[in-house]
Amino acid sequence: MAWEWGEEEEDNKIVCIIFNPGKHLMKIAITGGKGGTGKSTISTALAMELSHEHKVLLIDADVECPDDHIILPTTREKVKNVHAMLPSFNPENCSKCGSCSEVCRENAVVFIKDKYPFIISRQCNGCGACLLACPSSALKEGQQVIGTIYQGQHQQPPGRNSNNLLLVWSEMDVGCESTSLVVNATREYAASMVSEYDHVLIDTAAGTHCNVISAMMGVDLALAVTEPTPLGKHDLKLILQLLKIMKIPTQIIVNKSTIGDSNLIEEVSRDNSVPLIQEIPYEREILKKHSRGQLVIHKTIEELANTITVKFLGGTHK
Amino acid sequence: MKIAIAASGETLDSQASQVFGRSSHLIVVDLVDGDLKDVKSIPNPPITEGGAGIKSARFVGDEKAEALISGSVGPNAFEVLKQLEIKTYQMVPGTVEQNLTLLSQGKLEELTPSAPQGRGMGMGGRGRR
Repeated sequence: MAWEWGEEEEDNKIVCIIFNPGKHLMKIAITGGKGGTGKSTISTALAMELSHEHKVLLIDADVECPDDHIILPTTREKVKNVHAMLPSFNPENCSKCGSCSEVCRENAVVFIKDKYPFIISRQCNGCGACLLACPSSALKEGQQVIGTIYQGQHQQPPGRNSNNLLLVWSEMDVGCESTSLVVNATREYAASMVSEYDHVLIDTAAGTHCNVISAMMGVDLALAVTEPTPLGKHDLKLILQLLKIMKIPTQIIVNKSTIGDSNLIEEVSRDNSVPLIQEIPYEREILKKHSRGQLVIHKTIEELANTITVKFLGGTHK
Repeated sequence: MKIAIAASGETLDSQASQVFGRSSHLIVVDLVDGDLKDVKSIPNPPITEGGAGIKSARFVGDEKAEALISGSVGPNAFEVLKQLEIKTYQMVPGTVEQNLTLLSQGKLEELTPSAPQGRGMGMGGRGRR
């Protein structure tokens, strides 16, 4: 990766500057650990702001409850179903040895002595171990639908599509557990289009689980959105640990910065040497928009977009 | 007829268990004309992976039981029991022996899945992964 890191004293805060002169595409994950800190609000607002001058692809990787499509007025176009491997069983070849069941960590393949094994499909995560373990080729690769990928062009004003902003999202089937498979499929689909865009924003789910890891794989920058509360601090520390392991350059954004105790987050920022680059206040106008499910337009989002394009992309404006 | 029952201990005096997949023991007995024969207790070790109920249902199937008594059975375990044609009965608070006696007198109700059919977990689900 063509990243160089530099440190610079600025207003007594350590600011990391990422120089990336030769690179055209910037993949940014919006994450943060805690739920409800404003990841989707900021993702959609930032995507909108950046799309004034750049082509932006926004991926909503919170496949369990995607909601960017509620905030961002877009068209809704079904792209395809997401499939997971589901073994299909042929009793003719089966020797009733039970190997398939023994290797299944999810207990999805049930074997009772002297009977044919059977598969609990909703329990299967598609790992394929049973296929490898079966000595008599009684199991073959089949598939089941676990989710659906959608996409939509941003509409502004209603009825007029903007080619500058495309939203891609997925909806996972209710009760299904293999979220990262759906996240990966969504990113894979989006990858076929990224060359047409200047920025790819990936709005992750809350937490630090596999689905969040899958969403952040290979991004150039992560924005950790948090709030100045003890819960925000706790979960921020967790996501920073993960991002450190994943070696992803990270910046902190504090949403609802005018409530709670700002020292909480500043402390985490200092202790982990991860810069806090933007504060977004707790303001009536923002909340009004939020409560109506509308896009937030605010000067702090403009500042953030500016920081990303100017500072992180080495000042190259389009 | 062979009966399995989810229990909180290994003897007939133990309390019958409200849960199936994560009960401490499964007790299997042969019920012949109201008498309890061949009492066998199987430890039901807790597992951290998914499918605790499925695993317990397999134990019941391996023992060739024809009926199960438990407080609740999750949808996955229920599917296994259905496939194995094992009838499931609702326990009443009390000992294993009391429940077995009630069953032999035809006084226990048949159980339906504890959660709507879907991909849901039974008790002790794992949350996000």
